Amino acid sequence: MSIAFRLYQPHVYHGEDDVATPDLMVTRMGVALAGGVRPVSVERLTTAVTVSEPAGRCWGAPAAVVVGSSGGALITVGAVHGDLRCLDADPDLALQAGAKVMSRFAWRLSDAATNAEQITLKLIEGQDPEGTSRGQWRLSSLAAEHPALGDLLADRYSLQKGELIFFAADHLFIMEPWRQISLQHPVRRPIVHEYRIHDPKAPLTDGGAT
Amino acid sequence: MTPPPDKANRLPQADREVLCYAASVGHSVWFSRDLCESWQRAPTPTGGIYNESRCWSLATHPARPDEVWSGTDQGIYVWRQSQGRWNYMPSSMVGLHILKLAIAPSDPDFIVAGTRPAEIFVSRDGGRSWQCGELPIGSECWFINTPRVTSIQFDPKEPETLWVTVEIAGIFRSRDGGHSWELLVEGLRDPDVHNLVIMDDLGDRLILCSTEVGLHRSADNGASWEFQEVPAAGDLVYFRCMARRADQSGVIFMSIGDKPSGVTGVLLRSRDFGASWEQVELPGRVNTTIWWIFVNPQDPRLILCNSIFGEIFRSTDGGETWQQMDRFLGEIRDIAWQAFPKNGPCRS
Repeated sequence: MSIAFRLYQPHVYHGEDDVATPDLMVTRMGVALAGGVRPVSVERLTTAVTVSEPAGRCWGAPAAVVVGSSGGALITVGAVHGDLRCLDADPDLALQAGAKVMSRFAWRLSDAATNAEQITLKLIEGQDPEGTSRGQWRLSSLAAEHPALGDLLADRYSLQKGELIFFAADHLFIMEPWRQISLQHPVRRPIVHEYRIHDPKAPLTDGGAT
Repeated sequence: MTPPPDKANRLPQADREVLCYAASVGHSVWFSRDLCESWQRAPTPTGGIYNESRCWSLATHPARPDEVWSGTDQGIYVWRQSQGRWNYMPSSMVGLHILKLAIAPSDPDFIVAGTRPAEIFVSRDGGRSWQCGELPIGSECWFINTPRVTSIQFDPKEPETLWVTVEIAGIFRSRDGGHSWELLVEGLRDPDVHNLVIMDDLGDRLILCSTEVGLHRSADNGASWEFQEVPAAGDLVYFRCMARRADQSGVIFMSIGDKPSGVTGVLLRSRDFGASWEQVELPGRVNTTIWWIFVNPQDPRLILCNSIFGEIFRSTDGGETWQQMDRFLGEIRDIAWQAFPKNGPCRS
Protein backbone atom coordinates (compact mmCIF):
# COMPACT_ATOMS: atom_id res chain seq x y z
CA MET A 1 0.00 0.00 0.00
CA SER A 2 1.47 3.30 -0.98
CA ILE A 3 0.64 6.02 1.47
CA ALA A 4 0.13 9.76 1.50
CA PHE A 5 -0.16 11.49 4.82
CA ARG A 6 0.25 14.65 6.76
CA LEU A 7 1.73 14.44 10.23
CA TYR A 8 -0.54 16.05 12.83
CA GLN A 9 1.15 16.71 16.16
CA PRO A 10 -1.57 17.81 18.57
CA HIS A 11 -1.39 18.79 22.21
CA VAL A 12 -4.46 17.09 23.60
CA TYR A 13 -5.88 18.58 26.79
CA HIS A 14 -7.98 16.03 28.61
CA GLY A 15 -7.76 18.02 31.84
CA GLU A 16 -5.56 20.75 33.23
CA ASP A 17 -2.84 18.28 34.15
CA ASP A 18 -3.45 15.65 31.51
CA VAL A 19 -1.83 16.46 28.20
CA ALA A 20 -1.04 13.89 25.53
CA THR A 21 1.15 14.71 22.53
CA PRO A 22 0.85 11.90 20.00
CA ASP A 23 2.03 12.22 16.42
CA LEU A 24 -0.84 11.19 14.15
CA MET A 25 -0.53 10.31 10.50
CA VAL A 26 -3.56 11.81 8.79
CA THR A 27 -4.19 9.61 5.78
CA ARG A 28 -7.74 10.51 4.80
CA MET A 29 -9.44 13.87 5.02
CA GLY A 30 -12.87 15.22 4.21
CA VAL A 31 -14.93 18.37 4.44
CA ALA A 32 -18.56 18.18 5.49
CA LEU A 33 -20.47 20.39 3.11
CA ALA A 34 -24.12 20.51 2.13
CA GLY A 35 -25.06 17.37 3.96
CA GLY A 36 -22.23 15.17 2.72
CA VAL A 37 -18.53 14.67 3.36
CA ARG A 38 -16.37 15.47 0.36
CA PRO A 39 -12.88 13.95 0.24
CA VAL A 40 -10.01 16.41 0.08
CA SER A 41 -6.31 15.80 -0.44
CA VAL A 42 -4.36 15.55 2.81
CA GLU A 43 -1.76 17.76 1.13
CA ARG A 44 -4.06 20.71 1.88
CA LEU A 45 -3.77 20.24 5.63
CA THR A 46 -1.74 22.79 7.56
CA THR A 47 -1.28 23.97 11.13
CA ALA A 48 0.68 27.01 10.02
CA VAL A 49 0.05 30.45 11.45
CA THR A 50 0.68 32.09 8.09
CA VAL A 51 -1.21 30.65 5.14
CA SER A 52 -0.61 31.63 1.55
CA GLU A 53 -3.87 32.27 -0.33
CA PRO A 54 -4.73 34.68 -3.15
CA ALA A 55 -6.38 37.78 -1.76
CA GLY A 56 -9.91 38.55 -2.74
CA ARG A 57 -11.01 35.19 -4.03
CA CYS A 58 -10.90 32.66 -1.15
CA TRP A 59 -13.47 32.09 1.50
CA GLY A 60 -12.50 30.66 4.87
CA ALA A 61 -15.27 29.03 6.84
CA PRO A 62 -14.52 28.31 10.50
CA ALA A 63 -14.84 24.66 11.34
CA ALA A 64 -14.86 22.10 14.09
CA VAL A 65 -12.38 19.39 13.15
CA VAL A 66 -12.60 15.79 14.35
CA VAL A 67 -9.65 13.42 14.08
CA GLY A 68 -9.71 9.66 14.58
CA SER A 69 -7.18 8.42 17.11
CA SER A 70 -6.76 5.16 18.98
CA GLY A 71 -6.66 7.04 22.28
CA GLY A 72 -10.08 8.54 21.59
CA ALA A 73 -11.14 10.89 18.81
CA LEU A 74 -9.96 14.49 19.01
CA ILE A 75 -11.80 17.73 18.32
CA THR A 76 -10.22 21.05 17.52
CA VAL A 77 -10.78 24.20 15.48
CA GLY A 78 -9.86 24.97 11.93
CA ALA A 79 -10.92 26.65 8.76
CA VAL A 80 -11.93 25.44 5.35
CA HIS A 81 -10.49 27.64 2.63
CA GLY A 82 -11.80 27.42 -0.89
CA ASP A 83 -12.05 29.34 -4.11
CA LEU A 84 -15.33 31.23 -4.26
CA ARG A 85 -15.18 31.70 -8.01
CA CYS A 86 -15.82 28.05 -8.80
CA LEU A 87 -17.84 27.00 -5.78
CA ASP A 88 -21.12 26.67 -7.63
CA ALA A 89 -19.73 25.18 -10.82
CA ASP A 90 -17.35 22.68 -9.24
CA PRO A 91 -17.46 22.49 -5.44
CA ASP A 92 -14.81 19.76 -5.30
CA LEU A 93 -12.37 21.91 -7.22
CA ALA A 94 -13.30 24.89 -5.05
CA LEU A 95 -12.45 22.88 -1.94
CA GLN A 96 -9.21 21.45 -3.28
CA ALA A 97 -8.06 24.95 -4.16
CA GLY A 98 -7.71 26.16 -0.59
CA ALA A 99 -5.81 25.24 2.55
CA LYS A 100 -7.42 23.31 5.37
CA VAL A 101 -6.16 25.01 8.49
CA MET A 102 -6.28 23.49 11.96
CA SER A 103 -4.98 24.12 15.44
CA ARG A 104 -2.35 21.98 17.13
CA PHE A 105 -4.34 22.09 20.36
CA ALA A 106 -7.24 19.70 20.81
CA TRP A 107 -9.66 18.14 23.27
CA ARG A 108 -10.91 14.61 23.34
CA LEU A 109 -14.20 14.47 21.48
CA SER A 110 -15.74 12.81 24.54
CA ASP A 111 -15.10 16.02 26.49
CA ALA A 112 -17.04 17.99 23.92
CA ALA A 113 -19.92 15.58 23.43
CA THR A 114 -21.49 16.24 26.79
CA ASN A 115 -21.25 20.00 26.36
CA ALA A 116 -22.28 20.48 22.76
CA GLU A 117 -24.96 22.98 23.74
CA GLN A 118 -22.43 25.19 25.52
CA ILE A 119 -19.43 24.87 23.20
CA THR A 120 -19.16 27.72 20.74
CA LEU A 121 -17.16 28.06 17.56
CA LYS A 122 -16.11 31.70 17.07
CA LEU A 123 -14.54 33.65 14.25
CA ILE A 124 -12.89 37.03 14.66
CA GLU A 125 -11.05 38.59 11.74
CA GLY A 126 -9.81 41.86 10.39
CA GLN A 127 -6.80 43.67 9.06
CA ASP A 128 -4.95 43.14 12.34
CA PRO A 129 -5.46 41.54 15.75
CA GLU A 130 -8.04 44.21 16.59
CA GLY A 131 -10.46 42.25 14.45
CA THR A 132 -14.23 42.08 14.51
CA SER A 133 -16.40 39.18 15.48
CA ARG A 134 -17.80 37.61 12.32
CA GLY A 135 -19.97 35.00 13.90
CA GLN A 136 -20.38 32.24 16.42
CA TRP A 137 -21.96 28.84 16.10
CA ARG A 138 -22.99 26.37 18.78
CA LEU A 139 -21.45 22.97 18.33
CA SER A 140 -24.93 21.53 18.61
CA SER A 141 -26.12 23.66 15.72
CA LEU A 142 -23.14 22.53 13.63
CA ALA A 143 -24.13 18.98 14.47
CA ALA A 144 -27.67 19.67 13.33
CA GLU A 145 -26.31 20.94 10.03
CA HIS A 146 -23.85 18.06 9.61
CA PRO A 147 -25.39 14.70 10.57
CA ALA A 148 -21.97 13.03 10.64
CA LEU A 149 -20.87 15.38 13.44
CA GLY A 150 -24.04 14.60 15.34
CA ASP A 151 -23.32 10.90 14.96
CA LEU A 152 -19.72 11.35 16.16
CA LEU A 153 -20.81 13.36 19.19
CA ALA A 154 -23.47 10.78 20.02
CA ASP A 155 -20.97 7.95 19.56
CA ARG A 156 -23.09 6.39 16.82
CA TYR A 157 -20.18 6.62 14.44
CA SER A 158 -16.40 6.73 14.84
CA LEU A 159 -13.48 7.67 12.67
CA GLN A 160 -10.60 5.29 12.06
CA LYS A 161 -7.18 6.43 13.19
CA GLY A 162 -5.82 8.86 10.66
CA GLU A 163 -9.21 9.98 9.37
CA LEU A 164 -10.09 13.65 9.73
CA ILE A 165 -13.21 15.66 8.92
CA PHE A 166 -13.74 19.42 8.86
CA PHE A 167 -17.28 20.40 9.85
CA ALA A 168 -17.52 23.88 8.45
CA ALA A 169 -19.87 26.64 9.51
CA ASP A 170 -21.97 28.21 6.80
CA HIS A 171 -19.75 31.24 6.25
CA LEU A 172 -18.91 31.85 2.59
CA PHE A 173 -17.20 35.21 2.80
CA ILE A 174 -13.89 36.48 1.51
CA MET A 175 -11.24 36.19 4.21
CA GLU A 176 -9.52 39.11 5.86
CA PRO A 177 -5.76 39.12 6.49
CA TRP A 178 -5.86 38.26 10.21
CA ARG A 179 -8.09 35.56 11.65
CA GLN A 180 -8.78 34.03 15.02
CA ILE A 181 -10.91 30.90 15.27
CA SER A 182 -11.74 29.38 18.63
CA LEU A 183 -13.75 26.75 20.40
CA GLN A 184 -15.01 27.98 23.76
CA HIS A 185 -15.79 25.30 26.33
CA PRO A 186 -17.62 25.90 29.62
CA VAL A 187 -14.98 23.95 31.56
CA ARG A 188 -11.96 23.21 29.41
CA ARG A 189 -9.41 25.77 28.32
CA PRO A 190 -10.45 27.27 24.96
CA ILE A 191 -8.79 26.15 21.76
CA VAL A 192 -7.64 29.17 19.78
CA HIS A 193 -5.93 29.27 16.41
CA GLU A 194 -4.74 32.63 15.07
CA TYR A 195 -3.26 32.96 11.64
CA ARG A 196 -2.54 35.41 8.88
CA ILE A 197 -3.26 35.25 5.21
CA HIS A 198 -0.28 35.95 3.00
CA ASP A 199 -1.11 36.99 -0.51
CA PRO A 200 1.20 35.19 -2.94
CA LYS A 201 0.61 37.94 -5.47
CA ALA A 202 2.82 40.23 -3.43
CA PRO A 203 5.93 41.25 -5.40
CA LEU A 204 8.67 38.63 -5.41
CA THR A 205 11.43 41.19 -5.19
CA ASP A 206 11.77 44.73 -3.93
CA GLY A 207 11.49 45.94 -7.49
CA GLY A 208 8.32 44.00 -8.08
CA ALA A 209 7.73 41.04 -10.34
CA THR A 210 7.54 41.77 -14.03
CA MET B 1 19.85 -8.69 13.68
CA THR B 2 22.16 -11.67 13.45
CA PRO B 3 22.16 -13.11 9.97
CA PRO B 4 23.35 -16.66 9.56
CA PRO B 5 27.13 -16.89 9.52
CA ASP B 6 28.40 -16.48 6.02
CA LYS B 7 32.02 -17.32 5.83
CA ALA B 8 32.10 -16.37 2.17
CA ASN B 9 31.88 -12.73 3.22
CA ARG B 10 34.78 -12.94 5.62
CA LEU B 11 38.03 -11.31 4.67
CA PRO B 12 41.36 -12.00 6.34
CA GLN B 13 42.36 -9.00 8.42
CA ALA B 14 45.41 -8.34 6.28
CA ASP B 15 43.31 -8.11 3.13
CA ARG B 16 40.53 -5.90 4.36
CA GLU B 17 39.70 -2.40 5.34
CA VAL B 18 37.04 -1.69 7.90
CA LEU B 19 34.75 1.31 8.01
CA CYS B 20 32.82 1.97 11.19
CA TYR B 21 29.74 4.17 11.32
CA ALA B 22 27.91 5.88 14.18
CA ALA B 23 24.48 7.46 13.68
CA SER B 24 24.15 10.48 15.93
CA VAL B 25 21.22 12.59 16.96
CA GLY B 26 22.45 16.05 16.09
CA HIS B 27 25.66 15.38 14.20
CA SER B 28 24.60 13.15 11.30
CA VAL B 29 26.72 10.02 10.70
CA TRP B 30 30.30 9.65 11.84
CA PHE B 31 32.88 7.51 10.00
CA SER B 32 35.95 5.79 11.40
CA ARG B 33 38.72 4.08 9.42
CA ASP B 34 40.70 2.96 12.48
CA LEU B 35 38.21 0.83 14.38
CA CYS B 36 36.60 3.71 16.27
CA GLU B 37 39.84 5.35 17.44
CA SER B 38 39.10 8.54 15.51
CA TRP B 39 35.97 9.79 13.78
CA GLN B 40 35.13 12.15 10.95
CA ARG B 41 31.94 13.19 9.22
CA ALA B 42 31.33 13.49 5.51
CA PRO B 43 32.77 16.70 4.07
CA THR B 44 30.03 19.30 3.74
CA PRO B 45 30.81 20.25 0.11
CA THR B 46 29.51 16.84 -0.94
CA GLY B 47 26.02 17.77 0.24
CA GLY B 48 23.57 15.11 1.25
CA ILE B 49 22.79 14.87 4.94
CA TYR B 50 22.77 18.18 6.73
CA ASN B 51 25.72 17.97 9.08
CA GLU B 52 23.67 18.52 12.23
CA SER B 53 20.96 16.05 11.23
CA ARG B 54 19.30 13.61 13.55
CA CYS B 55 20.24 10.17 12.24
CA TRP B 56 18.60 7.26 14.02
CA SER B 57 19.53 4.14 12.14
CA LEU B 58 22.11 2.43 9.96
CA ALA B 59 22.05 -0.59 7.68
CA THR B 60 24.69 -2.33 5.60
CA HIS B 61 24.82 -5.44 3.43
CA PRO B 62 27.94 -7.49 2.68
CA ALA B 63 26.99 -7.74 -0.99
CA ARG B 64 27.19 -3.94 -1.26
CA PRO B 65 30.08 -2.83 0.90
CA ASP B 66 30.14 0.44 -1.01
CA GLU B 67 26.92 1.50 0.73
CA VAL B 68 25.67 2.42 4.15
CA TRP B 69 22.06 3.44 4.67
CA SER B 70 20.82 5.86 7.29
CA GLY B 71 17.31 6.64 8.49
CA THR B 72 16.92 10.22 9.64
CA ASP B 73 14.27 12.81 10.47
CA GLN B 74 14.48 13.97 6.88
CA GLY B 75 14.19 10.73 4.99
CA ILE B 76 16.55 7.97 3.98
CA TYR B 77 20.06 8.60 2.74
CA VAL B 78 22.62 6.22 1.23
CA TRP B 79 26.34 6.84 1.44
CA ARG B 80 28.30 5.44 -1.46
CA GLN B 81 31.95 5.29 -0.66
CA SER B 82 32.90 5.30 -4.32
CA GLN B 83 31.03 8.59 -4.77
CA GLY B 84 32.06 10.03 -1.44
CA ARG B 85 28.65 11.48 -0.73
CA TRP B 86 25.22 10.93 0.78
CA ASN B 87 22.44 10.32 -1.73
CA TYR B 88 18.84 11.17 -0.80
CA MET B 89 16.34 8.35 -1.47
CA PRO B 90 12.83 9.74 -2.07
CA SER B 91 10.11 7.98 -0.10
CA SER B 92 6.83 8.73 1.59
CA MET B 93 8.56 8.51 4.97
CA VAL B 94 9.66 12.13 4.90
CA GLY B 95 8.45 13.78 8.09
CA LEU B 96 8.62 10.56 10.09
CA HIS B 97 11.49 9.51 12.30
CA ILE B 98 13.08 6.54 10.53
CA LEU B 99 14.22 4.75 13.64
CA LYS B 100 15.23 1.38 12.21
CA LEU B 101 16.49 0.09 8.88
CA ALA B 102 17.22 -3.50 7.95
CA ILE B 103 18.39 -5.15 4.73
CA ALA B 104 17.51 -8.78 4.07
CA PRO B 105 20.55 -11.05 4.28
CA SER B 106 19.21 -12.97 1.30
CA ASP B 107 18.48 -9.96 -0.91
CA PRO B 108 20.17 -6.55 -0.75
CA ASP B 109 17.20 -5.00 -2.59
CA PHE B 110 14.78 -6.07 0.16
CA ILE B 111 14.89 -3.20 2.65
CA VAL B 112 12.61 -2.56 5.60
CA ALA B 113 12.22 0.69 7.53
CA GLY B 114 10.49 1.23 10.87
CA THR B 115 9.31 4.64 11.94
CA ARG B 116 7.78 6.83 14.56
CA PRO B 117 4.74 6.94 14.45
CA ALA B 118 5.02 3.17 14.21
CA GLU B 119 4.70 2.03 10.63
CA ILE B 120 6.66 -0.42 8.53
CA PHE B 121 7.75 0.51 5.01
CA VAL B 122 9.12 -2.12 2.63
CA SER B 123 11.13 -1.74 -0.55
CA ARG B 124 11.80 -4.68 -2.87
CA ASP B 125 13.75 -2.68 -5.42
CA GLY B 126 16.69 -1.33 -3.50
CA GLY B 127 14.88 1.71 -2.13
CA ARG B 128 13.46 3.06 -5.38
CA SER B 129 9.88 2.51 -4.21
CA TRP B 130 8.33 1.81 -0.82
CA GLN B 131 5.07 0.30 0.36
CA CYS B 132 3.55 0.86 3.79
CA GLY B 133 2.55 -2.36 5.56
CA GLU B 134 -0.69 -2.76 7.43
CA LEU B 135 0.58 -2.80 10.98
CA PRO B 136 -2.43 -3.31 13.29
CA ILE B 137 -1.44 -0.69 15.79
CA GLY B 138 -3.02 2.28 17.53
CA SER B 139 -2.00 5.85 16.93
CA GLU B 140 -1.45 6.50 20.64
CA CYS B 141 0.04 4.65 23.57
CA TRP B 142 0.62 5.32 27.23
CA PHE B 143 3.80 6.89 28.58
CA ILE B 144 5.47 7.82 25.28
CA ASN B 145 2.30 9.03 23.53
CA THR B 146 3.26 7.77 20.07
CA PRO B 147 4.28 4.16 19.36
CA ARG B 148 7.60 3.60 17.61
CA VAL B 149 9.51 0.75 16.04
CA THR B 150 12.44 -0.49 18.11
CA SER B 151 13.79 -3.37 16.02
CA ILE B 152 13.37 -5.21 12.71
CA GLN B 153 14.47 -8.79 12.15
CA PHE B 154 14.42 -11.04 9.13
CA ASP B 155 13.47 -14.59 10.00
CA PRO B 156 16.56 -16.84 9.76
CA LYS B 157 14.63 -19.55 7.92
CA GLU B 158 11.74 -17.92 6.06
CA PRO B 159 12.86 -15.13 3.70
CA GLU B 160 9.38 -13.54 3.57
CA THR B 161 8.89 -13.54 7.33
CA LEU B 162 9.67 -10.38 9.27
CA TRP B 163 9.67 -9.70 12.99
CA VAL B 164 9.25 -6.23 14.44
CA THR B 165 9.17 -4.91 17.99
CA VAL B 166 7.24 -1.77 18.82
CA GLU B 167 7.13 0.27 21.97
CA ILE B 168 4.63 0.41 23.36
CA ALA B 169 2.61 -2.21 21.57
CA GLY B 170 4.30 -5.58 21.36
CA ILE B 171 5.85 -8.01 18.90
CA PHE B 172 4.56 -8.18 15.32
CA ARG B 173 5.22 -10.82 12.68
CA SER B 174 4.58 -10.71 8.96
CA ARG B 175 4.71 -13.82 6.81
CA ASP B 176 4.14 -12.04 3.51
CA GLY B 177 7.13 -9.77 3.27
CA GLY B 178 5.73 -6.98 5.43
CA HIS B 179 2.28 -6.53 3.93
CA SER B 180 0.10 -7.95 6.72
CA TRP B 181 1.04 -8.35 10.37
CA GLU B 182 -0.07 -10.24 13.47
CA LEU B 183 0.44 -9.17 17.07
CA LEU B 184 2.17 -11.71 19.36
CA VAL B 185 1.91 -10.68 23.01
CA GLU B 186 0.49 -13.71 24.80
CA GLY B 187 2.31 -14.00 28.11
CA LEU B 188 4.36 -10.80 27.80
CA ARG B 189 4.43 -8.95 31.11
CA ASP B 190 4.72 -5.64 29.29
CA PRO B 191 4.13 -4.66 25.64
CA ASP B 192 7.04 -2.21 25.82
CA VAL B 193 9.35 -4.40 23.75
CA HIS B 194 12.77 -3.59 22.36
CA ASN B 195 14.54 -6.43 20.62
CA LEU B 196 14.55 -10.10 19.63
CA VAL B 197 17.06 -12.87 19.09
CA ILE B 198 15.77 -15.76 16.98
CA MET B 199 17.67 -19.05 17.16
CA ASP B 200 17.17 -22.41 15.46
CA ASP B 201 20.36 -24.10 16.59
CA LEU B 202 18.92 -26.33 19.29
CA GLY B 203 16.42 -28.13 17.12
CA ASP B 204 13.31 -26.29 18.20
CA ARG B 205 13.16 -22.58 17.63
CA LEU B 206 13.90 -20.35 20.59
CA ILE B 207 13.21 -16.61 20.60
CA LEU B 208 14.37 -14.17 23.25
CA CYS B 209 12.67 -10.81 23.72
CA SER B 210 13.89 -7.84 25.76
CA THR B 211 11.26 -5.60 27.34
CA GLU B 212 10.89 -2.69 29.70
CA VAL B 213 10.47 -5.13 32.59
CA GLY B 214 12.83 -7.96 31.73
CA LEU B 215 13.61 -10.87 29.46
CA HIS B 216 11.03 -13.18 27.88
CA ARG B 217 11.42 -16.33 25.83
CA SER B 218 9.20 -18.19 23.41
CA ALA B 219 9.51 -21.85 22.50
CA ASP B 220 6.52 -21.85 20.13
CA ASN B 221 7.67 -19.38 17.49
CA GLY B 222 6.19 -16.36 19.23
CA ALA B 223 2.72 -17.71 19.95
CA SER B 224 3.35 -17.33 23.68
CA TRP B 225 6.02 -15.82 25.87
CA GLU B 226 7.38 -16.71 29.26
CA PHE B 227 9.19 -14.40 31.65
CA GLN B 228 12.79 -15.38 32.38
CA GLU B 229 14.61 -14.37 35.52
CA VAL B 230 18.07 -12.89 34.94
CA PRO B 231 19.84 -12.66 38.30
CA ALA B 232 22.93 -11.12 36.70
CA ALA B 233 20.91 -7.98 35.97
CA GLY B 234 20.90 -7.08 39.66
CA ASP B 235 18.60 -4.14 40.32
CA LEU B 236 18.45 -3.05 36.69
CA VAL B 237 15.20 -3.85 34.93
CA TYR B 238 15.29 -2.01 31.59
CA PHE B 239 16.25 -4.70 29.08
CA ARG B 240 17.10 -3.02 25.81
CA CYS B 241 19.31 -4.45 23.08
CA MET B 242 20.33 -8.01 22.25
CA ALA B 243 22.70 -9.40 19.66
CA ARG B 244 23.89 -12.88 19.00
CA ARG B 245 27.56 -13.20 18.16
CA ALA B 246 27.72 -13.86 14.43
CA ASP B 247 28.77 -17.47 14.76
CA GLN B 248 27.22 -20.70 15.99
CA SER B 249 28.62 -20.60 19.50
CA GLY B 250 25.40 -19.65 21.30
CA VAL B 251 27.00 -16.49 22.69
CA ILE B 252 24.50 -13.64 23.07
CA PHE B 253 24.94 -10.13 24.42
CA MET B 254 22.19 -8.14 26.10
CA SER B 255 22.15 -4.60 27.49
CA ILE B 256 20.30 -3.55 30.61
CA GLY B 257 19.99 -0.12 32.13
CA ASP B 258 18.11 1.74 34.81
CA LYS B 259 15.79 3.36 32.25
CA PRO B 260 15.94 5.24 28.92
CA SER B 261 18.21 7.04 28.59
CA GLY B 262 19.17 6.30 32.15
CA VAL B 263 22.37 7.06 34.01
CA THR B 264 23.97 3.64 34.03
CA GLY B 265 23.89 0.30 32.31
CA VAL B 266 25.54 -3.08 32.03
CA LEU B 267 26.27 -5.57 29.29
CA LEU B 268 25.42 -9.21 29.92
CA ARG B 269 26.72 -12.26 28.07
CA SER B 270 25.22 -15.70 27.72
CA ARG B 271 27.24 -18.67 26.53
CA ASP B 272 24.30 -21.07 26.39
CA PHE B 273 21.73 -19.52 24.02
CA GLY B 274 20.27 -17.29 26.71
CA ALA B 275 19.70 -19.84 29.45
CA SER B 276 22.10 -18.14 31.87
CA TRP B 277 23.79 -14.75 31.91
CA GLU B 278 26.90 -13.13 33.33
CA GLN B 279 28.02 -9.50 33.50
CA VAL B 280 30.64 -8.43 31.02
CA GLU B 281 33.43 -6.29 32.39
CA LEU B 282 33.24 -2.97 30.59
CA PRO B 283 35.96 -0.41 31.32
CA GLY B 284 34.81 2.68 33.13
CA ARG B 285 31.28 3.53 34.10
CA VAL B 286 28.60 3.27 31.43
CA ASN B 287 26.75 6.59 31.29
CA THR B 288 23.36 5.34 29.98
CA THR B 289 21.68 2.15 28.95
CA ILE B 290 23.76 0.49 26.20
CA TRP B 291 21.57 1.35 23.21
CA TRP B 292 22.89 -0.79 20.40
CA ILE B 293 25.15 -3.80 19.96
CA PHE B 294 26.47 -4.50 16.48
CA VAL B 295 27.73 -7.87 15.31
CA ASN B 296 28.75 -8.75 11.78
CA PRO B 297 29.28 -12.17 10.19
CA GLN B 298 32.17 -10.67 8.23
CA ASP B 299 34.12 -11.06 11.48
CA PRO B 300 32.40 -12.41 14.62
CA ARG B 301 35.31 -11.19 16.71
CA LEU B 302 34.75 -7.49 16.03
CA ILE B 303 31.77 -6.26 18.06
CA LEU B 304 30.76 -2.67 18.80
CA CYS B 305 28.27 -1.21 21.24
CA ASN B 306 27.37 2.27 22.37
CA SER B 307 25.60 4.15 25.09
CA ILE B 308 23.08 6.82 24.13
CA PHE B 309 25.36 9.57 25.38
CA GLY B 310 28.26 8.87 23.13
CA GLU B 311 30.34 6.12 24.72
CA ILE B 312 31.65 3.52 22.31
CA PHE B 313 32.93 0.12 23.37
CA ARG B 314 34.85 -2.24 21.08
CA SER B 315 35.74 -5.88 21.33
CA THR B 316 38.11 -7.58 18.92
CA ASP B 317 37.94 -11.01 20.54
CA GLY B 318 34.28 -11.86 20.19
CA GLY B 319 33.16 -10.02 23.29
CA GLU B 320 35.55 -11.57 25.79
CA THR B 321 37.28 -8.27 26.51
CA TRP B 322 36.24 -4.69 25.73
CA GLN B 323 37.90 -1.34 25.26
CA GLN B 324 36.24 2.02 25.75
CA MET B 325 37.13 4.41 22.96
CA ASP B 326 38.54 7.81 23.88
CA ARG B 327 36.23 9.79 21.63
CA PHE B 328 32.67 10.55 22.76
CA LEU B 329 30.30 11.51 19.96
CA GLY B 330 27.35 13.17 21.68
CA GLU B 331 24.12 11.26 21.33
CA ILE B 332 24.41 8.00 19.37
CA ARG B 333 21.50 5.75 18.40
CA ASP B 334 23.11 3.19 16.13
CA ILE B 335 26.55 1.84 15.34
CA ALA B 336 27.82 -0.49 12.61
CA TRP B 337 30.86 -1.57 10.65
CA GLN B 338 31.61 -3.34 7.42
CA ALA B 339 34.69 -4.64 5.67
CA PHE B 340 35.73 -4.38 2.06
CA PRO B 341 38.83 -5.57 0.21
CA LYS B 342 41.92 -3.42 0.45
CA ASN B 343 42.46 -1.56 -2.79
CA GLY B 344 39.00 -2.72 -3.86
CA PRO B 345 36.35 -0.63 -5.58
CA CYS B 346 35.18 0.92 -2.30
CA ARG B 347 38.50 2.55 -1.52
CA SER B 348 38.24 6.31 -1.80
